[in-house]
Amino acid sequence: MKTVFLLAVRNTLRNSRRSALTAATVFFGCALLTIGLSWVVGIQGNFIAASVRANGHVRLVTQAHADREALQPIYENISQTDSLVTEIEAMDDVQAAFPRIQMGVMASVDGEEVGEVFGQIVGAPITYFDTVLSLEEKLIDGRFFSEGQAAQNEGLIGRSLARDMGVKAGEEAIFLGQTQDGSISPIRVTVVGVVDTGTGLFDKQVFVPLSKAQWMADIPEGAVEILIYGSNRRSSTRIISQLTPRLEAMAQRVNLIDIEGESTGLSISSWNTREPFASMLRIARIIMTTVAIIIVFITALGVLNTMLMSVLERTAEIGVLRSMGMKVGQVVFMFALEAIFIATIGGAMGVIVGSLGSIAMEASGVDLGSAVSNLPDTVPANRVLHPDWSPALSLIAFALGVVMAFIGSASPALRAARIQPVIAMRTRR
Amino acid sequence: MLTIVCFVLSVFAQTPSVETILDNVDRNMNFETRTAQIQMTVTRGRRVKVYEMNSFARGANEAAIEFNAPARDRGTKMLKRGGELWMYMPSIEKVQKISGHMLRQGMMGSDLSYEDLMETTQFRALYDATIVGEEEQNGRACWRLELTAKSEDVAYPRRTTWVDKEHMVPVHEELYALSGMVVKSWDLSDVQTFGERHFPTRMVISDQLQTGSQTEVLFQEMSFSVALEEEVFSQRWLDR
Repeated sequence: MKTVFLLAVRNTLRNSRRSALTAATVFFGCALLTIGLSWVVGIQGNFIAASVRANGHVRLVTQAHADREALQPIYENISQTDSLVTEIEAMDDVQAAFPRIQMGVMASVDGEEVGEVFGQIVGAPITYFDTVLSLEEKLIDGRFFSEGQAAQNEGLIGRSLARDMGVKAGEEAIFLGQTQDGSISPIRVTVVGVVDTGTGLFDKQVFVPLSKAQWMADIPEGAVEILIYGSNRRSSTRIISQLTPRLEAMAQRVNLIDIEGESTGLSISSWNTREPFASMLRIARIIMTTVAIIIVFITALGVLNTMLMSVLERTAEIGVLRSMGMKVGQVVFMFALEAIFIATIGGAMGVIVGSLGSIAMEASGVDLGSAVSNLPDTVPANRVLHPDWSPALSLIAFALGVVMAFIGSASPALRAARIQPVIAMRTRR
Repeated sequence: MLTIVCFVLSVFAQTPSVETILDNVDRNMNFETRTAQIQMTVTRGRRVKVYEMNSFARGANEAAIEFNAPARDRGTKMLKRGGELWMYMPSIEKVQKISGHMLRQGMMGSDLSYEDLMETTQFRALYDATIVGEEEQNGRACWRLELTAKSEDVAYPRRTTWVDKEHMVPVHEELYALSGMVVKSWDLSDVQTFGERHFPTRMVISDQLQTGSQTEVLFQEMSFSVALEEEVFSQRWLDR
């Protein structure tokens, strides 16, 4: 075994140009893999983070609302939310629960014609805007909400909506929405601040205290949904398992009835099971696997090429070794070891360069600009996308690099092992 | 033989022409001026909302409504003038023109759209009609008419109307979309007589596209041919 190992080391150094070529192939494969996987994980993470921010780790709505989700029906609402929020917040694993009302509105600066600009109003407790959406940190003009009742008629407005409306901090704005009965319902809001959230969806929204949205929707004590946040997104499973047995009693307590007058229940869903995020996550996984397979395949082809050259060059030598008693397995092992030595060097360098590249791009990101603003309102995509590098990704890329070399060397090694010693020795190579 | 001839003649004598029916309906349903206190009850599944309003109308093209109840909507005003509809919203002290897709929404969430509000009931001018039968509808002997719009400007391209033979007012209507689907049905009842005019004082409108949805409109203290101030039909009245 020691001899085979020494032979593999010697062979690695014997034709330095060919070894360098193999190493370069693995180097590029690993570098590309590190960068590619960082991007896929980063983009997926951006969507997940934005999704969780927007919709909670777990979301509670009426069953009738869940059944008509695509219509975003505010008439299917939870008419009383206070007692439910108190009960949910007392549960283990729940850090906070926020009632929320969202609806499409027509917007204008006070004094101008309403009807040209469309946005979305979000009514929730101010702590939601502060602790979950971190809007105070994202102010680009004006200030955050006042304390207490003074905030009643105040609103923060997303950058894109503010631009479309031509509104600035300190100005009054009119938003025309609907009550849950479908009646036109207007509110006047003093825009105290403009926020740049970096997310296309949030930048087209206006954020107002829950009571203001309750008045607009004519749901005086309730909301359309309750967003529940645990310590992290993995806590959603535990929250759902605790909440599920209580749903029926909760629905009965607040006497939930749907638009057709029928009794309805409550529906809970985890962040990763709601559309379009569930589909997006599936797509991200498919992309990640495809990227990895393509890079591994191309790199393995490169390794196969150089290793095949190596086998052809050493046919006579292999014949001699075989006639001296080297077994088939030992020949395969020798070539595989050679490939792994080269891959270790090339892969390590590739991973280092790929990691540095990913880290650099993580800091700067790529600004998608207006492309994000054309996404549907249900997709909270960040305007600036970042890769998300982690040591684990580098390890995966390195391991795949070694696997690439092993796969690439397997066929030439087997070919070498199958050579008949007598025939091999006759060749001039 | 003479008896048979007399019978046939009497039947023909009792069947007025469709033009005559439409003229009579138009005469009853249209007016120079009208004031009314209206109670509108909107039922959507579990929710029932009752609106009270004062209504002023002059001819087919001018109408003004002021809401008195519920408290949330008190002071809301609507003005229809010509082909335009304006709404004053007291909560923001602002007049808003209702146009485009908003016209197809239910007025105050009711089954009566703003577009319905804009529509005139001048059947003769707007529709070609044929009598397709005689039927009892809502307990009244009726002519059943098929009406097809003369132009594309009307909200409903086709309507089937049951006209009360005695009062010459519609008692039931089915309104069709361009696709041929029934989108709304109207039931008109409690006909009262105002001089020579018959007018249904209760209307029940059902949006057939919404399950469990119904709007009842009750006309209370209605007067026709009353003097109305010119200002009622002006923009000034809206934000007064």
